[in-house]
Amino acid sequence: MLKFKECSIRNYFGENFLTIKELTLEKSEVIQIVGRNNSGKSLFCDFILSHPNGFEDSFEILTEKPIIIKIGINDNLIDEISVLKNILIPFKRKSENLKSKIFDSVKIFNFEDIDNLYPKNMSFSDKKIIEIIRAVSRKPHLIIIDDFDLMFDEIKFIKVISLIENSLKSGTSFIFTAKNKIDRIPKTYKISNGFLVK
Amino acid sequence: MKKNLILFSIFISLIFTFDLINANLDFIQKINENKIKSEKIIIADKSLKSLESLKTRLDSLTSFKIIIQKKTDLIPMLIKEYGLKKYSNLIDETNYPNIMTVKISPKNLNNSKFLKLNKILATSKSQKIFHPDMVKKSLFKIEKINKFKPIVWISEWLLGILIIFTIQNLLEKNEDKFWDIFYSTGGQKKTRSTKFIFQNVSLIFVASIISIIMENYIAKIYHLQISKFNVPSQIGMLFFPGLLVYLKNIRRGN
Repeated sequence: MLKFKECSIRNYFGENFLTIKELTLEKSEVIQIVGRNNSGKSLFCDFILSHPNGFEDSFEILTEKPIIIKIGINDNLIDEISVLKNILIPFKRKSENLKSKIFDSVKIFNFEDIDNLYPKNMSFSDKKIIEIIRAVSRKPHLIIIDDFDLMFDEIKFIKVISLIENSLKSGTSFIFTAKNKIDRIPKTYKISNGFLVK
Repeated sequence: MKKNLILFSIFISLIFTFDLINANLDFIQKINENKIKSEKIIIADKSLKSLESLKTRLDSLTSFKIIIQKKTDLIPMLIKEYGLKKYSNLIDETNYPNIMTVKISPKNLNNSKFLKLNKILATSKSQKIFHPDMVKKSLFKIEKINKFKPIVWISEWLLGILIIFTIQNLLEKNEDKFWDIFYSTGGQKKTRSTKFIFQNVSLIFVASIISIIMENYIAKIYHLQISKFNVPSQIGMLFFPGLLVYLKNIRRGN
């Protein structure tokens, strides 16, 4: 789905910041990228988002017109509209089938009456769960979750992982970035001294 | 839909307000035109020749309807009107004047023509009944309104564009976060611009038709004439703000 080989990524000032020796991500695969603060994890995510058609020969996206969704620390929900409406934002047709799938997903997290629940009354982790449910419902080619380890406690983390594992069946791939290695994800890349290596 | 309803209500309110302003101006103009129309100049002279020469001079100004009534026609009319048949032998024709009535048409009249009229009448030695101050005042008001009308019309148009642009811009800005989320969560590209164009075209179409109906109704009540520029100017009042908002907010977001 995604392939990097000897790719250099420049930072926002145009300086070479991160070199990726080799990285591959297959369809329905999950990888994690572990690195410290300012190591270039977010830069790497933004690089993928800003080059949806690949970058020279060093970075290829093997899907035409890929749908890539990034979830980060920033709030990406509208406080004034209900959670259900927030989840339905990217959908042109808001079918009953889609809604029932969304209701099934939110039930895992014990959210009730999401048509009358508003993001302004929710905690940070709950908001992130809603964003993940929305992303997963969209069935994109790739979901990038930046700073994944900062978002949830252990209980919520397990539930989110089970939601993600379910969505792998629809062909979505995942990239997580984290400061500490997440044990449940086997394929791990590390960033150290400006290099991203396996 | 809600957005279009807000814009539609504002547009119709603006058109309604502007129509009332224009109707008022037309109304004041009509009152003054009627004042001038009702004013007659009556000139009396025993010599028919001097009245005829005065008529020739006034005819050159092409703003007056002039009727001369000869004393030979007037005397029998007076006798009949007041039942003076018994005393008709006492009436001496030489003592009676010929009468010239000048009716003023306000449509062709302007200040310079009015000054010429005054000059011609001043040089004539015939007896006159005329109130030039009243005509002058009305003429001054009509000329002022005629000068003022294009300024009012342009101001209304610009104000309409400004108000609609400000509100439409605000409404679109309120939706910026929605569309940011829409695109960042894999929403189809150009959806916002397609939706915006469709909504604006339908707004222009519906609002123009309704405002034309409304204007015709107002024109009927006030007996006004609708300018041929009204429809294009109203379409422009919706089109230009829409175009500006599109270039400023929508196109960039695609």
